[in-house]
Amino acid sequence: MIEVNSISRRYGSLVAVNGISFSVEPGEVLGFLGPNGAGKTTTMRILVGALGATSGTARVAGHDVATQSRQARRALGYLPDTPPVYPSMTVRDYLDYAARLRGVPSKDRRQAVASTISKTGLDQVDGRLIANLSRGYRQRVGLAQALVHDPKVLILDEPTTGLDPAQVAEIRNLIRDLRGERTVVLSTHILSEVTATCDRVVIISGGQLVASGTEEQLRDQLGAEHRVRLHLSRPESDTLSCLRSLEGVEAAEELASGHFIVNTGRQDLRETVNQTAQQWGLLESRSEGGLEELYLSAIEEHGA
Amino acid sequence: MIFHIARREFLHYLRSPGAYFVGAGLLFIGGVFFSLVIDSYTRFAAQGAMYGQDPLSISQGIIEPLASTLGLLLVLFLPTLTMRALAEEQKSGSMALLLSAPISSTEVVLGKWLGLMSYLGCLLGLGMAYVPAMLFVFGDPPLAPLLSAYLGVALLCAVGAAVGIMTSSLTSNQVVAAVSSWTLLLGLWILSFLESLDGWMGSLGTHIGLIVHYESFSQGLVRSNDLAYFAVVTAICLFVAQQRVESQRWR
Repeated sequence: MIEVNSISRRYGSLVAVNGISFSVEPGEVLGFLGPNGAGKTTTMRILVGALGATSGTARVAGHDVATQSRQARRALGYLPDTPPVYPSMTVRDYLDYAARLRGVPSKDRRQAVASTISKTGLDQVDGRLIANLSRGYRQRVGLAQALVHDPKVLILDEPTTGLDPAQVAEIRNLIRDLRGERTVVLSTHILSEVTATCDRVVIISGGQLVASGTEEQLRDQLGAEHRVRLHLSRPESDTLSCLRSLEGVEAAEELASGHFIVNTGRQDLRETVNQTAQQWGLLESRSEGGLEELYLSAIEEHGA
Repeated sequence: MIFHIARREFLHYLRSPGAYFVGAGLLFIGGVFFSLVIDSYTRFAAQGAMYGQDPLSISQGIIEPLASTLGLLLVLFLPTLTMRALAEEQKSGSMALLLSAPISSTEVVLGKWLGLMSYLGCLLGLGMAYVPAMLFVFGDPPLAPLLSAYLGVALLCAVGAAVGIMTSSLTSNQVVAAVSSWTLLLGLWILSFLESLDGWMGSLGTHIGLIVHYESFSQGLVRSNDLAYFAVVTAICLFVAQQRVESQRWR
């Protein structure tokens, strides 16, 4: 549904995006992950046709975003990093205008606006001026604008910034509900967002693609190891040797009294390790080497 | 699509306190000047009648001075209406909505221009409607010069709006946009004063000066070179604005 073929974008001498390629299958939710300034927003602006790529091509729903820009833009909804709202309009008027711009036929417009308002939880504020809305509500209006014409492809630039935890959960649910019917690319620098909502991840840093794939694939690509951190109340003298002798365990260390770390290599052996540790009074078991570490190690490798 | 953008612009001006403020100022000064013109016209007419001179015609005594003042007022007031046109969209980030929607930059710019023109049409058409009404009730004004004066005002609005939209497209700072459209419009206006000079400067004034082309309409002359002047300046400015909006998609 989306194909990005080695796109680059320079601003003068600054290279914001440097030869990124990836593709997104129909119905997939892709997480676009990277630290601030990694080139996420630039890439997304190129995808929606709001910015030209210095080199490379991108296709959205089969249309080249540079040469068939209008057809490509017809297929997508876009939430930029700041909600593109007009403070002097009411929520309902604004969404009506967005629907007009997106070419929703006049007979469907009222219905489209009404259903988007209820879908994004804006019923309480639909007659209010956007100027008087809180940041969270403005963000929702921005999201509603991207959804109002029921697009096949959604490009969401940091959709949950500025929202309170309850609203974040709501928006994530909303995005999860879209999965399957729509192709979604969402950018974020918050890792838990990706694990919560995305099927697949593309990590970029310093304008370059660092890794891409599902969580498992990333683990393989980056050679990540599973580690379990244990806190035991009654460690015995042979605890360490017992842990080391478990099948699949590559290394184990005692960090402080009662605190152990067990490295199980490429295998996820949390269950076995935890069961064994029960006998020494397992207080806490924490798995390390999740996406967080992968992410950090990936962007560190690229020196960003 | 042009219609949808023009409609939003029009409604924006109708709902914006700032636009009312500007409109009220324009109409107030226009009204004061109208009463001054009428006053001096009646005095001149009375004096002329005493000495048995031909009475000053309504078109020379009222329409001409009123139209030329209204022209200067428009040059002074229009930039305050146009400065936000595209600069505000750039600054607030709402430009992304227009750029990512399936509409062309030509439609964006033409929509903005048409929306503003509709607002100006309402403002001057309704707000200054007392001028022809009073002339027809208390006098017998010639129709043709009145209509050509109206045409001149409309064309001046077209140029003013286009210049303003152009400068607004070139910056995200509204003050810079307003000051540069004042500079351009007043510059074109003042250029007319070179008309009396000899040589190339004189011809520059005659051909480029805004007043020269504008005032022939208030004198009841509709000349093709004046029409062409307004059309060309408007088109050039809207083209620059369109290129500026489109340039964000350039490589």
